Amino acid sequence: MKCHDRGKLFLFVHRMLAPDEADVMRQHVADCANCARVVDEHRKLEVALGDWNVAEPSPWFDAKVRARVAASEQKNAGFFGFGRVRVLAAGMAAIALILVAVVLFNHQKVAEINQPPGSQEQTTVTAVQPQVPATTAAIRQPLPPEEQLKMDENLSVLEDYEVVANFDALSELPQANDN
Amino acid sequence: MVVDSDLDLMLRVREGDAGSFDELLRRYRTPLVKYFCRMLRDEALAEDLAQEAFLRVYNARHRYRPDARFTTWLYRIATNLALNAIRDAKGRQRQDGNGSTRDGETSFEFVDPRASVEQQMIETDRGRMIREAIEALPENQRAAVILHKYQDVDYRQIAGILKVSESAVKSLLFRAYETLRVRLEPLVRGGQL
Repeated sequence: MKCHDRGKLFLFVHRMLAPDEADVMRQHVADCANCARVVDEHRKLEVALGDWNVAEPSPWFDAKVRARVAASEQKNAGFFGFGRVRVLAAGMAAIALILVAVVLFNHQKVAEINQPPGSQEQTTVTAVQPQVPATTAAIRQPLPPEEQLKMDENLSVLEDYEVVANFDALSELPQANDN
Repeated sequence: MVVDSDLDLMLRVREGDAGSFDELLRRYRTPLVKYFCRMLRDEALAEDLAQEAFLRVYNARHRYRPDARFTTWLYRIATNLALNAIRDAKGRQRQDGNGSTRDGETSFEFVDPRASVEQQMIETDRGRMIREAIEALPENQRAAVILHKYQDVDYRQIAGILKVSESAVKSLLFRAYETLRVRLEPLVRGGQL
């Protein structure tokens, strides 16, 4: 049987060969002085390397690890706990701001509608009016109080069904089956 | 008495069991500190990085997947920390202009100004020779040899830790041990120093 290279012998010494390969190698090394010498070198190196001692952990090692873990936990709690509260608070503040803005806007709209003509706000609104067509502006102009009163007095007529049902103007409209 | 496996302990740590974390700490503090000591030589830095490794294990407990061995995961974290520390030290030495070359590798030394008397007493001449020979190895070979020889980690696990193939680990280890055999010839021949 031919001799193996140093790499294969190294793998044999360090038990990195498959069991069947290791069996073949073991038989060969038992009969081959050259390969047995290489195996011996590897084993001696293995033993020699055992002479390197290093320090043990200090007695306060565990305490230091626990302190670091506790500090990290606290930091994480700060980040995820307080941070979450802050995000929630910011969100609620934003919602509150939006609600306030909507309420204020509506309030202003109502105030504009109910405002008598000629007031300060009305002047401001009419100052912007030139951009609106004149007819639209005329429609949007609030009626004088006496006209408004007349309209309100006639409203009861529209509420009376008999009057509306017999309204001549309606009977003059073309019927659906008329061609 | 049934001894809990690392995996069981880690799963309990994930559920928030502090006692299980203490048990993992008890099991692995010595191997981990020694691993960092051998990788970096600086004892104070070794302790600091070992603590950092445990902290990272704790902080990453929810991401732990039980499909890999706990020690593979632990040593992967530790190896990344050690290799980063070595690279940082190399970078600082390059900036300081102190880097020297040995066999094409930029050598570096963590010169610990606080090297304890105890450490000096522990380190024999034989120990110093071994340390210097291993420190002169390229980073990956050094990590592979230390994991294999001193941490008793299987070559398959080393492949997982270094994220290389098993055949690459075999090759790394063979080249490293061959280099060490040449450098440590006086020890290998059995001569007393």
